[in-house]
Amino acid sequence: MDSNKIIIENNGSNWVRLELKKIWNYRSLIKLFTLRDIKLQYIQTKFGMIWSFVQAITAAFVINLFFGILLKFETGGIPYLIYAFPGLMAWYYFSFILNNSGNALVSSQHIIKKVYFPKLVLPFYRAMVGLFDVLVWLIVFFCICVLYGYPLSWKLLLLPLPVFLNIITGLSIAIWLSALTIRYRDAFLIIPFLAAFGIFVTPVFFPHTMIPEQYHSLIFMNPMAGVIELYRFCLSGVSLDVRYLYGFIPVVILLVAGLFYFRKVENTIADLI
Amino acid sequence: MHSEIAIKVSNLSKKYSISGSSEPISLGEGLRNFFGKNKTDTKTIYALDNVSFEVRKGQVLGIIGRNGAGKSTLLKILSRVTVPSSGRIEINGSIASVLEIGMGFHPELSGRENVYLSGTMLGIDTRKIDERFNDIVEFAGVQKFINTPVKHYSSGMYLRLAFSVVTNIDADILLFDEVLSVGDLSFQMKCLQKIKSLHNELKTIIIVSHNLNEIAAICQHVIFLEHGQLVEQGSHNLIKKYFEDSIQPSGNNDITGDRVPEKINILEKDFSSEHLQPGDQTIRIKKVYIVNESNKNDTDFFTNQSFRVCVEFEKFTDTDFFDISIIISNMQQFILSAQTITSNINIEEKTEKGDYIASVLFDEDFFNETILNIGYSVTRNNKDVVCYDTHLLRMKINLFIGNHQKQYYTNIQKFLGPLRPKQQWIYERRK
Repeated sequence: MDSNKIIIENNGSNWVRLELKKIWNYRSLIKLFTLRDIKLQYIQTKFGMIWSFVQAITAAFVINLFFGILLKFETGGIPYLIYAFPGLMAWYYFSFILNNSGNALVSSQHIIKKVYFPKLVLPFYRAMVGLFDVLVWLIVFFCICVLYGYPLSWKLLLLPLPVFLNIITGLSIAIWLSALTIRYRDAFLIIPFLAAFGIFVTPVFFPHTMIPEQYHSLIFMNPMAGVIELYRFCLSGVSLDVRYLYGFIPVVILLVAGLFYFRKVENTIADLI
Repeated sequence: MHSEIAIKVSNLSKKYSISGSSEPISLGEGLRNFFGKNKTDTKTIYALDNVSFEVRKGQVLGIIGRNGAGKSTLLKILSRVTVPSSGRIEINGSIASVLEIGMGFHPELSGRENVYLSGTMLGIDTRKIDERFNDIVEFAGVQKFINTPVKHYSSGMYLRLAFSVVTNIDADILLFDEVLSVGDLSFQMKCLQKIKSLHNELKTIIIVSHNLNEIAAICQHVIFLEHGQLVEQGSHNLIKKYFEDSIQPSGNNDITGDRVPEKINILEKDFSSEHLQPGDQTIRIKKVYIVNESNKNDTDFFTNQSFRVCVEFEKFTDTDFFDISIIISNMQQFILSAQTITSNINIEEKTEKGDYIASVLFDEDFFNETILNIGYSVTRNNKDVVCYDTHLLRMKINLFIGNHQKQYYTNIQKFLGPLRPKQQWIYERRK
């Protein structure tokens, strides 16, 4: 409820302003939406929370069996599971954001047609919901550390940084997708493709040292590689190669462009959906 | 801008392109369009066409018009769900809109959580909701169940709570779209009362409704939209005009399913073939019809004429007796009169079988100018309903204006309402 004068008009201009302050004004809505979804997904359903743990633990078992024990990937002396688990977590959260935030507008079309609020709230809060899963995965990870007797260091305190970059990277694509699905419903089909094949070109299961030297620059361009490497820096005690951070340059460009595109189509959403 | 004005709408237009690029399409199609192939023709329609009006602070404005006239589009623009194609709106004060009652409510969440969620969706900050929370719950009357998921609420509780959130948050301007047509009578009464009390608190209220009685009850000012254009604005008389227009056959049914009957008068229903005749082995209805008593051959009816509704039937037993009722309702399905034979004649002795006609006379100046649905029902031995149809016939009664009245005739002399019995007035000085 804006309490003073509101002007509604179509100025016909092709320029849009981001008005990120509006999103900030609606932060309590983001909070309530996030808590609502977490409650509905995990807490109120009987097996919701257990399911999250089962998923994380199963993933740990499977990758340890195939890549750690059977294929014996070389991870520089760090136990394979300790090395690979944060990477898998990052990828899991990334695809969670693609799926949920990318689909945010279409699946919330009912309220979009009935009430005004900045639509950017939707993909954003959907990404926040996934933080609950991240928490579950981290708990599982800490249990693994205890099992292996692997020490954690002060670098754990830097964990919010890779989580933040994980969200930003996911949203940089999801915001585009959510805006595109308004007009092109099949844009959403890109998501499973990205999630399924992206995992092979990103060092999720393997260290980048396994890749021939001449392809390293390609890996450094991949922002998810950077996110994963930062997680490993914080959690697994891997030393950080700064070149990984180059990958965030395209993320920032994609994100800013995506925000503008989103704002541009925002006003037409209620008419098109 | 004048401070007394709550909403000022100037030259507002909203156009939609249909059968063209604004429909969701596939990405491939989009690319083909982009590269200039496969251009589809777009047809533009104006949902709103150059609409201007003002709402003063503290006014209750009703928006009326047929389906597809642009009422909801206007409300959507005012509540910022969609943007206008051109034009400008200035709104002074905070605005809360209810395009759908219970919007944002989630069945699995408790009443308390839903109050906060829907309040926040309306843009109210948490502190304000904290402040008003008790009022909201009290008005809804759900104190005991506020921590229960709303899926366990009765639909009345649910609606009351949803309505309560919107009306108790101190918005300066409230927009309602058909919300009062939901819920049972007691809920509607409560809503009307609340809207009246909001009006007394000088809130500005805009209501879109199909229920003209409701609009008449609460709005001092009405705007009438047709094909996206503001045709007229004014007070109650406009409502009556709209009502007449809406049942006039216009031959213009291309806009989304208007409920305009092609032909108003259906004066006779002859069940010629036996298997179509309503009834059972004891009685069969053969024909139901209306006769103009004042002029037998006239099929136009005027308020100064009496008419008779007749039911022809055949009795097959000698032991049963049948009570025939004539049921008259208006276009809003509200029953105005239900006349039964037994209230007038003792028919319990007249039980021999054969063909009968039962008819009832409606005097002149009984009904006002209006459109009536006429139906019947048949009850056997005061217990079993054999058959009924409340919408069998339809007739229009036109206002009779005598020659001597014509020169004095104004809108004000029209009676409002469906009845026009001649009642005696007394006008004198107090002693």
